[in-house]
Amino acid sequence: MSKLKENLRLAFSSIKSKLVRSLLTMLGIIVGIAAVMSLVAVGKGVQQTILGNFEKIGASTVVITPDWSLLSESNAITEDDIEALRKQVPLARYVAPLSSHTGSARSGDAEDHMQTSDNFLLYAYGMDIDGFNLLKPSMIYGRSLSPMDYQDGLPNCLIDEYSATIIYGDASLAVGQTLEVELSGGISGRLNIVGVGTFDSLNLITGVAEGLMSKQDQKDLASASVFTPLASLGRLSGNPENAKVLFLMAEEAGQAENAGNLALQILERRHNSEGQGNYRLQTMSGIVEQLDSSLGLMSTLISVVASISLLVAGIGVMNVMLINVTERTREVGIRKVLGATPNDITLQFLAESVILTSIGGVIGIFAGFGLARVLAAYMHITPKFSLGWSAASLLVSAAIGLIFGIAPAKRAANMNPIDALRYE
Amino acid sequence: MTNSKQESVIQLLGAGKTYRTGSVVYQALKDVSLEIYQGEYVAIVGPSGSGKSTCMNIIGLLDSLDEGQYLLKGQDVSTLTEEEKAHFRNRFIGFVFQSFNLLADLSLLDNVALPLFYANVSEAKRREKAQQALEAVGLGKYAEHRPTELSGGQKQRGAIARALINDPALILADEPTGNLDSHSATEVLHLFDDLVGQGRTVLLITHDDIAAKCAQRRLHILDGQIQSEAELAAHGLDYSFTKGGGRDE
Repeated sequence: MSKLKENLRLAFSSIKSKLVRSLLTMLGIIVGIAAVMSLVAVGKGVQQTILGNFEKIGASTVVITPDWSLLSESNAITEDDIEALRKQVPLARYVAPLSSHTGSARSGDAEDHMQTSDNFLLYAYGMDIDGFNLLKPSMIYGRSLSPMDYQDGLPNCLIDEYSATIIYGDASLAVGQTLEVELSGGISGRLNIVGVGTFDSLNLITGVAEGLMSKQDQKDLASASVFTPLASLGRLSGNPENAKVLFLMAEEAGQAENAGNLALQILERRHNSEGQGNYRLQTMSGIVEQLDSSLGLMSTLISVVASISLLVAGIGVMNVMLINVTERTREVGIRKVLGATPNDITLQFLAESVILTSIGGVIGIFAGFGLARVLAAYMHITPKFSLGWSAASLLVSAAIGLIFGIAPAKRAANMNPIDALRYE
Repeated sequence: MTNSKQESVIQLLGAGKTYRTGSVVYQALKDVSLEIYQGEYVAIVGPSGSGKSTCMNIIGLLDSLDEGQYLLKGQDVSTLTEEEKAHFRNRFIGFVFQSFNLLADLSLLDNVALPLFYANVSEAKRREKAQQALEAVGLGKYAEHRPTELSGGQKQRGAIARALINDPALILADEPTGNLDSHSATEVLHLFDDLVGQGRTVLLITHDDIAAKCAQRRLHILDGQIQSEAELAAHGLDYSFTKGGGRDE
């Protein structure tokens, strides 16, 4: 066993003596492992966010989305529709319409903080009190919307914490600010920020409902998300504010699909489009499953690509070890003359290749952590690191050193000492 | 100086070695028989191409015979596996080479200790024995030097210390003075004298007459065969030192 320890020490000093070559050889391993580790961490983080949000929303929620190509946007889900559904679907505890608009906004104090243009991108979401209850955002500063805000359509809104930080520097400064807005659907006027909260689940769900994964890609532009009563948006535009998508939360989890189907029928009947598929019903678990599987697919795909890069890295290791062996032909000859068996020589060079790739693996794991943090910050999620995956990565790295190091090591072991000694 | 009561270290009986490259057949050794006893100082002398290198490789367990037998300490080596040969080399033969063959990446001490590493001796013990071995050849204070920092003579003395470290049955020296200046060469040959005086067995392979003169017994090899005196005369070569120049027989 001490021979193993000495061979490991010999391997380290060998690697150190050819440091640049060793690092370049390791590079392939580092990149492959870092890619896998960061991907897994980010993927798990996104999964965590989705599952976390799912638990919030629960298994008792369904989503009804009109097919916009077949219906006119403005009246697919009207206020009267909502009233009707509330009366006719007793299984539903909440019937929550949601609308969304994009446009630009300005804010007095914001101009002091932001150095770019006066205007910034604004996403405004309209909801009613059921929607707020269903989605339960976490309020941080100020207050949430009051019943009066909803009933009277007061121009008050809540802002997303991340947006508040971007626009005002400090999220708490957002409370009390006024936004001058110009939005799609003819909405223009003023909104007062009364509260700051985290609306992650809403972002995710509106993204899903609108068929986009997330507008996170535009986070590098100054943009903000605000949430305001539907009635308030209606007042600012002068037209009734109708929903883009409808959430239904059943009293019990098992009733969600029934409630959804009933609501679907009612809507279709009210709009004289029975059986025409103008409205689409999705369960939250169905949506989550979809997201999960496409994430899983993406992870698998990128893992395959990373594996190919590890294979290529392994071939690089084999190449370098062959060079090492050739360069040390004389040394191998001397060692064999002095009593090294073929196994001794094999062990010597295998130790070197395994140590080389293992060090590369360790560096790759840490590089992966770093990369994961960068990606996750950009995507506004928390990465989730797994000890299991780290251990597996280290094992895979060592295995690559073993598999791709064996041929060069065997070549050294089988050298004829007489010829080896003559090698210049 | 042969004594039948002394232990036989090396015995070649009718040894033959043939090299084949393509259609060319070359007989490097033809029916070579020799015996070396413990405590002897023997030289195998011959020009290049005479087969002395082949002889050395056979005796050093680096090559194997096609005909005849090789007995090392009375044991037939033809049945040994590669691993066993390596162990035998490690245990019974101390090699000294013309070009020293020290590892440049290791200190002199680690070089001298290397045979002990392959003999599974612990690190502490190895370093201790190596240090003693270096002291014995007068290189004690050079233990941590790299071979590149040493002179030829110092390197060869270090190599001799390495050759002795496992207390081998035979010191096998291949042109040990070939890369040395005359002063260092003399030093090294005196060292061999001392070793023989201590009871060691030394086999010198050389084409150098001066080195060969130091040995007690000289075996002349030409065209793969050990020559008798009469044959030497026929070839017209001057081997006058067989008649008493150098050490007594």
